[in-house]
Amino acid sequence: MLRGTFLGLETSKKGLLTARAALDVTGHNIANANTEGYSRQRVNISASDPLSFPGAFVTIRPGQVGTGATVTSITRIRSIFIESQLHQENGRSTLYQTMSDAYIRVEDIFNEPSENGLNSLMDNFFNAWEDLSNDPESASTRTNLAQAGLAMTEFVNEQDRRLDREVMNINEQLQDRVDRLNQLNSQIAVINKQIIQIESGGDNGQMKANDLMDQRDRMIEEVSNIINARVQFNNDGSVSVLVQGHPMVSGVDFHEIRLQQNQQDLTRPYIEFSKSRIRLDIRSGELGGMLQMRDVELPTVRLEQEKLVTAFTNRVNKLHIAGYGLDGLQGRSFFTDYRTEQYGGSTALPAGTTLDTTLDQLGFTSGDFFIQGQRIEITPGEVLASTAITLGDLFQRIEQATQDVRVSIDGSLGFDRVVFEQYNPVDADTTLKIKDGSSNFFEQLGLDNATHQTFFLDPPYRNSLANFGLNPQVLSDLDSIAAAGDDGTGFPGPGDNRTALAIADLRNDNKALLNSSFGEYYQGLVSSIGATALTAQRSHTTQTLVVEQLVERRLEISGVNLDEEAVNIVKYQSAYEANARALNVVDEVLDLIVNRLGTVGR
Amino acid sequence: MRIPNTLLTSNYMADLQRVQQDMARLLRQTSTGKLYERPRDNPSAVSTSLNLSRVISSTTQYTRNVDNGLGRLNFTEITLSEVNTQIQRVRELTVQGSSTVLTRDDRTAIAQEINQLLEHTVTLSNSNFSGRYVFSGFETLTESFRINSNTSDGFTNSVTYQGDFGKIGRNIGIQRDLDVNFDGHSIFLDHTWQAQGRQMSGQPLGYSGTFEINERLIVVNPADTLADVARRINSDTLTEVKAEVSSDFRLQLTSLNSSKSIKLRDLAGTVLEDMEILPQGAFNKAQTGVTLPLTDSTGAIHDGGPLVYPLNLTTNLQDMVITLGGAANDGFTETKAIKLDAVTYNNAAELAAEIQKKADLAFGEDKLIVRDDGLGGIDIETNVQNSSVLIGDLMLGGTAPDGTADTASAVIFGYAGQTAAGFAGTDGNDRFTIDLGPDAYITRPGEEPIDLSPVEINLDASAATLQDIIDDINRQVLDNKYLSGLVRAEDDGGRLRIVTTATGTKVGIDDLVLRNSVPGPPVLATDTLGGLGFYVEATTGESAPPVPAQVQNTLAWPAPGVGTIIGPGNESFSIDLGPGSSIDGTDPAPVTITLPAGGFIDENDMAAKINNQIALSPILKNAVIAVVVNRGGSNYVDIQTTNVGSGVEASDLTLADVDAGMLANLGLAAPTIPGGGTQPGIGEITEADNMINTMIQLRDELLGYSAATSRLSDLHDVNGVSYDLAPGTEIRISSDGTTSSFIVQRFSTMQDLADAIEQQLGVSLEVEVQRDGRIRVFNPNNTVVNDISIEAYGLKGQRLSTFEERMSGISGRLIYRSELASRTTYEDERFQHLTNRIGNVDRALEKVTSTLAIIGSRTRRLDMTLTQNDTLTVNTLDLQNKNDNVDMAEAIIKLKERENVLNAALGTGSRIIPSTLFDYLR
Repeated sequence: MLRGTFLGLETSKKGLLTARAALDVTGHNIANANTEGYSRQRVNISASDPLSFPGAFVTIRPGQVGTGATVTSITRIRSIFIESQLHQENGRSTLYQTMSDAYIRVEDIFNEPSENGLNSLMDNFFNAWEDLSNDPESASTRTNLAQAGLAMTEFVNEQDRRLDREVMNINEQLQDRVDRLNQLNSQIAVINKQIIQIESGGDNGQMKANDLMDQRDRMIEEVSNIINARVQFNNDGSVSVLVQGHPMVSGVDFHEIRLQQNQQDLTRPYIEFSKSRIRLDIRSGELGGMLQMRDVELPTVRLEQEKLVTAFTNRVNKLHIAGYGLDGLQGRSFFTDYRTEQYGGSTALPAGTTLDTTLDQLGFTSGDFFIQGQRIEITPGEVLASTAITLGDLFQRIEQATQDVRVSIDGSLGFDRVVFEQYNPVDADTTLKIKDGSSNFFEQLGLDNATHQTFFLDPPYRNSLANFGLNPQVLSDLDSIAAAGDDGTGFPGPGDNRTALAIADLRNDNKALLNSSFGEYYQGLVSSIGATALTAQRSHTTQTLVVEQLVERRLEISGVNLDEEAVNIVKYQSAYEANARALNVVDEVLDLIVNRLGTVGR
Repeated sequence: MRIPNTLLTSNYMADLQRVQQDMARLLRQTSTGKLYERPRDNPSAVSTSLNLSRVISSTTQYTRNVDNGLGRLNFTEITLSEVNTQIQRVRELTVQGSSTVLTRDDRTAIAQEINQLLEHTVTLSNSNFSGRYVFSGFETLTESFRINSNTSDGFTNSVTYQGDFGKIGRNIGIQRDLDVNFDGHSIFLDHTWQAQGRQMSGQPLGYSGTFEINERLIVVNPADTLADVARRINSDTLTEVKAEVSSDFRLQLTSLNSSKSIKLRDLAGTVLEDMEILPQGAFNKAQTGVTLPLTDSTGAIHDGGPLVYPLNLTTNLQDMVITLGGAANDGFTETKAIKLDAVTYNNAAELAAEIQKKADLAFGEDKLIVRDDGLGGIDIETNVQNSSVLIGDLMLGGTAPDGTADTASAVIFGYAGQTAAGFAGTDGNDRFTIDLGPDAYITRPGEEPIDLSPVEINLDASAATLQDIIDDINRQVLDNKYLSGLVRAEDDGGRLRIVTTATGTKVGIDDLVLRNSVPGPPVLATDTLGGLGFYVEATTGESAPPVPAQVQNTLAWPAPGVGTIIGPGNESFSIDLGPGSSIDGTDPAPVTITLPAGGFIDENDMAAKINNQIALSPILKNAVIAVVVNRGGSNYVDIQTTNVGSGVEASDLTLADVDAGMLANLGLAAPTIPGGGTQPGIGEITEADNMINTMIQLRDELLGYSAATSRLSDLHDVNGVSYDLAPGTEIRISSDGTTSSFIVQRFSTMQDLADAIEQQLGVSLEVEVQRDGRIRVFNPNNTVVNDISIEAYGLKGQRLSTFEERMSGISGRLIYRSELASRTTYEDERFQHLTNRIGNVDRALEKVTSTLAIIGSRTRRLDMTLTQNDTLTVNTLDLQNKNDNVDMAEAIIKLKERENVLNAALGTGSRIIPSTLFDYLR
C-alpha cells in the first residue's frame, strides 16, 4: 500500500490548527491575566493517530507514519487540595473577623477606659456617699448623690438596651447572610446544570466548561466565607456543597436553608433546612461568628454585668434599708428593690434570738447546705471557737456566696424565723435554690418544711440591668436617703453619717462579689472582654495570613504569568510558521510532481 | 516556583496595607496620647488603668474627707482653746473669791464676772460650724445646750444638753476612719447626776408599773425589756435624762441637766424599787426596827447603805424623817423631820456629824447615835442602856405608831448644885426661847392644834441668885400670852426646873423645847441654857441626873463572859440566802461555814476567817461578807449581804447554828443580822460637779444666794417687816377647785412651800424657787398658768394679808418676793466650799486640755494622712501615666520609621510591577 500523496498537507493543516488553538488559549490567558478567580488554561496537544505500513514488501522503512498533532483538551490549572483548604480557612477567618468586629461594639458598650465608663460612675457614686458622710445634713450632697446614682443606673440601663440591640442586629445579619447563602447555592446548582450539559456534549469528557467552573468556584468561596461548607466533586462535573454532611447543593438540586423562630427563646432564631428541618449547628464562617457572639459571648458578658449589678443593688440596699433618712424614717431601699422569691422557716427560733446569738447557743453543732448551688459549710471548729460564729456571721456568709439572696430574722408571723429572700436576681428566670446538705442543717435552723413563696411583679421583672434604678421615693424626697445608722433607739440625729460611711466603704469590701470588690470584679470583666476581643482579632490576623498564603499558593498554580504566555505565543507562532513552511514544502513537492515531472518529454 | 503577575501586586498591596495600619495606630496614639483606646488594645493594661483610676478617685475623695475633718477639728480646737481661757479665769476668780477679807461688793463683782464667763462658755458650747452644732453629737441641727434661766435676773440656772452621744466619723482611707466630733456632755457636763440600777437581764421584765422620772410618767409593760424602758425615757426629752442599758444589763441614768438631780418615784408598782435605782441615797430601803444583837436590851439600828462621796446634797433631797419612841425616847413617840444642809459631804463621817447635829436638835442630845458605819454608810442607833427598847422605837422615813401618851407635864431640869448666878444674868444679853409644841395649845372645838411661835426669854442682868432667875423667867412667862399658865420655872433643890403646868391639856414632852436664841455653835458665853445647866430628863427620872448614855460592849468579840473559841475546830453555822439573792429567783440552799480550830487573834482575824470560808462557796461568794463594825465604841463582827445587784433582802440572810451555841459564841446569836441585806442595790450618785454647774454654784455662792433653803419663819420683806409665817401658819393652795393645806413647820423652807405648791398643781406644772427668792410657777409647755390662789392663816386664824399680797399672781404667774436673811450671812463654811470647788474647776480645765490634746493628735494624724495621700496620688498618677500614656518620642520615632518604610515602598511600587517579555517583543 502506498502512502497518500496529500498526507503531508493534512499533517501540516493539523499542525496549523493546533498552533492556532494554542495561540487562542494563550491569548485568553493573557486577556484574563488580572481576572479575579481566573485559572489559567492549558492546551493539551497530542500526536494524532499514525498510519501503519505493515507488509513484507515494505522496504523503505518499517513502522508507522505520524499524521501530525491534535488538541485533545483545554484544561484549567487548579489544585483541588488548596481549594478545599482555602474553603476551610476562609470559614475560620470570617468567624474571627465577625467576632472581632462584634466585640468592637461590645467594647463600645462598656466604653472603657474613659471618664464615662461604669468604673468612673461607680467611683463617683461612692464618692458622693463620702461627700454625704461629710455633710449628711445638707441637701446639696444628697442631690449630688442622687445624680451620681442616676448617672450610674442610666448607664447600666443603656448597656442593657445596647446588648439587646446587638442581639437584634445579629439576627438581622443572620437573615441577610442566610438569604445570600440561598442565592449562591441556587446559582451553583444552575451552573452545575450548565456544566453537566456542556461536558456531556464532548466525547470522553474532553469537553471542559472551564470558565463556568471558575465562576462556580468563586461562588463556592463566598459560601465558605459564610458557612463551614465542604465541597464534593461529582463525576458529571457538578459539585455538591455540604454543611455538616447535609447537602445544600447536590448536583442540580438546591436545598434551601432558613432562619427559624425559636419558640423557647424568641430572641434566638436558629438555622435549619427548610424542607428536612434539620437544625444546623454552625461553628465557622460569618454565621458561626454571629451565632457564637449571640449565643455565647454576649450572654456571658451580660451575665457577668448582671451579677455585678445584682450584688451592687443588694449590698447597697441592705445597708440603706437599715439606715435612717433625714426625715427620721427607715426601711427604704436606695435602688428599686424587686423581691422575687422567699423561703421562710416554719419553726420558731428560740425567744430572744438576735443576729448576735451564736450558733452554739442555738444548739448548733455543724452542718452544710446549698444555696444557689454554692455550698455553705459550718465546721464544728467555727461553732466552738472563742470567736464563735453568730447567726449574723452565717447570714453574711450566705449573702456573700450569692448575689441575690438576703437572709434575715423575720417576725411577721408572730414568731421569729429565718427567712431567705431573693432580691433583684440577674434575670427573671433565675430562681432561688436552697437545698439541705448532708447534715440536718435546716432542721437546726428551723428551716425544714420551709414555705416557699413567689412574688409576681407588675410590670414583670426583666433583669438586674434593665431594672437597675433609683427608688422613686428616694428621688422624689432626697431626705429619705439614709445617711444615719441604727442603734435600735430611733433616729439618731441629722449629723449621723454611719450608713453613708458604711455604703461608701462598700468600695473597699473585698468580699462584695465572689471574693472580690466591685471595682476588681468590673475590672476583671472589662479585661476579659478585651482579652476575648484581642484573641478574636489576633486569630483573625493569623487566619488572614493563612488565607493569603493559600491564595498565593493558588495563584502560583493557577495564576497567569505573562512571560510564560509570551514565550507560549512565540512558541505557538513559530509552530504555526513552521507548519506553514512544512505545508510549503509539501506544496513544492506536489508542484514538482505535478508541474515538473514529465517535462522531460516535452 | 511560579510567580504569577497578580501575586506580586497583591502581596505588595497587602504589605502596604500593614504598614499603613501600623501608621494609623501610631498616629492615633500620638493624637490621643493614650496607648490604647479600647480593652482589646491591651486587656491587662486597661485592667490596671481601671484599678489606678479607682485608686486616684478614692484617694482624692479621702483627701477631701480629711480636709473636711480637719476643718471641723480645727474649729473645735479654737473653740475649746477659748473655753480653756474662760475656765482659767474662773479659777483665778475662785481663788480670789475665797479670800475672807473681801467685801460683799467685791464678791458680787467677782460673781458678776464669773457669770459673764459662764455665759460666754455656754455660748461657746453652742458653737456651730457652717450651720452644724459641733457639740451636739448626731443632733447637729439642734443647739447643743438649752439655757434654763427662769429668774428675773436672767442668770443661767442650769443648762440642758440637747444633743446625743453620737460619734461622727470620717473615712480617711481604706478601712480607716477617725471621729471628728466630741459630744458636749462629755466636755461641758462631765459629771452630772447619775444613777444605776441592779443587774437584770435582757429578757422582758414581766411586770407592769408606772414610775415618774423628773415628773415625767414612764409606763412599763410586762413585755418590755430594760432597753424598751430606756428607749421610753429617752424618747421624752423633757425627762432631761439619758437612759442606757449597760452590758451587764443595768439601767443607767445620766442627767442631761447640768445641775438638777434625777427625781425618781414609783407611782404604781415597784419598778424603780425592783431595779434598785435609788439615787436619793441609801436610806430608801433601810428597814425599820431591826433588832440589835444586844444581850441585855433590845435596841434599834438603821444601817444605811454605802453612798458615793463626795455627796452633793441639793434642796431636791427629801427630808429624812425619824420616829423615835418607847424607852429610847422616855416613853414618847415622836416623829421629826431632819433636813440636811445642801452642801457637799466628803465622807460618811461628815454626813453622820450633820445628821447627829440635826437629830440632837430635834430629839435632844444623847437620844440617838449617828455614826459612820465604816462601809460608807451611816448607822443611826438609839442610845439607851439597860432599857427596854422595842422594835419600832426607831424608825426612819416611817410614820410614828399612834399612841402618844397624854402626859401631865414635861420637865426640863437644870443641873443640881449649880448656881446659875455665875453664868446667867451677868451681861443682860443672855436669852433663850421657850417653844411650846402644838399640843400645848388649847384648841377650840373644830380647830386644828397650832404650833405656837417660840417665845424669847431675856434674862435680867441684875439676877444674882437662882431665885432671881426663876422669878425673872416666871414674870416673863406670865407676861406672854402664849406661855402664861402653861409653863413655870421652879427651884428643884438648887436646880432650875422649867415644867409645863397644864395638866390635862395634852401637853407632851416634845411640847416644851428650850433653845438658845443666839444662833451659831455653842460658845460658853452665849450658851445660856448650857450656862443654866439644862439637860433633858424623862418625867420619871427625877431622882438623879442619869449617867451619860453609853452602849456597853456586851457583844464585842470576844464577848465578855463567853469563852474564846479554842476548841478542836469545826465549829459551824450556816448561812442561808433567800430567793431575792439570786437573779432567777430560786432559793439557794443554806451553806455551812466551818471555822478552823485555834481561835482568833482578834475580831479582824475572825472576820477574815469567816470570809475565807465564804469565798469557798459559789453561793455566798460576793453575796455575803463578814465585816468588823465599830458600834458604840466596840467592835462587832457582822455578817452582811453585799447586795450589789443581787436583790438581796434582809430576810434573805439567816444564820443558823449547826454546832449548838456557835453563833452565840461568835456574838452573832441573833435571828437577824443588823442591816443585813437591807442595803439598796446601787444608789450610785455622782455629784453634779461639771464645768457649767461648778460655775453656776461659784457664782451663786459668791452672791450669797440660798433662797431655796431659807426658812419661811425667817422671811421678811425688803423693809424688814416679817411675814409672820410662824410655825403653825396654814397656807392654803387652791387650783382647779381643789385646795390643799401646807402647815408651816419650824424648819419649813421656801423649797418645802414650792414642793407643796407643786404637789397641789400636779405634774404638768413646775414650781421653782428662784435665786432671788421668788417662787415661780411655770408650765414647761409654755402655756399660761391660771387659777391658782394662795391664802395664809395665822395661828389665831387671822388672814396674813402681807404674805398673800406678796403671793398674788402677776399675769398668771405666781411670784413671791422676799429679802432673805441668809443673803446677808456669809459663813465660814461657804468659803470652805469655794476652796473645794477649785478641785472641780481644775478637773474641768483638765478635761478641756485633754480634749485639746486628743484633737491635736487627731489633727496630726490627719495631716500625716494628707501627706500620705498626696504621695500616693503622685505615685499612682505616675504609674497611670506610664500605664496609659504614650511615650511620644517612641511613638513618633516609630511613626517616622513606618513612614520611611511606606515612602520606600511607594517609591519602589512602580518597579514592583516588572516589565514582561512583551515589552521586548516586537
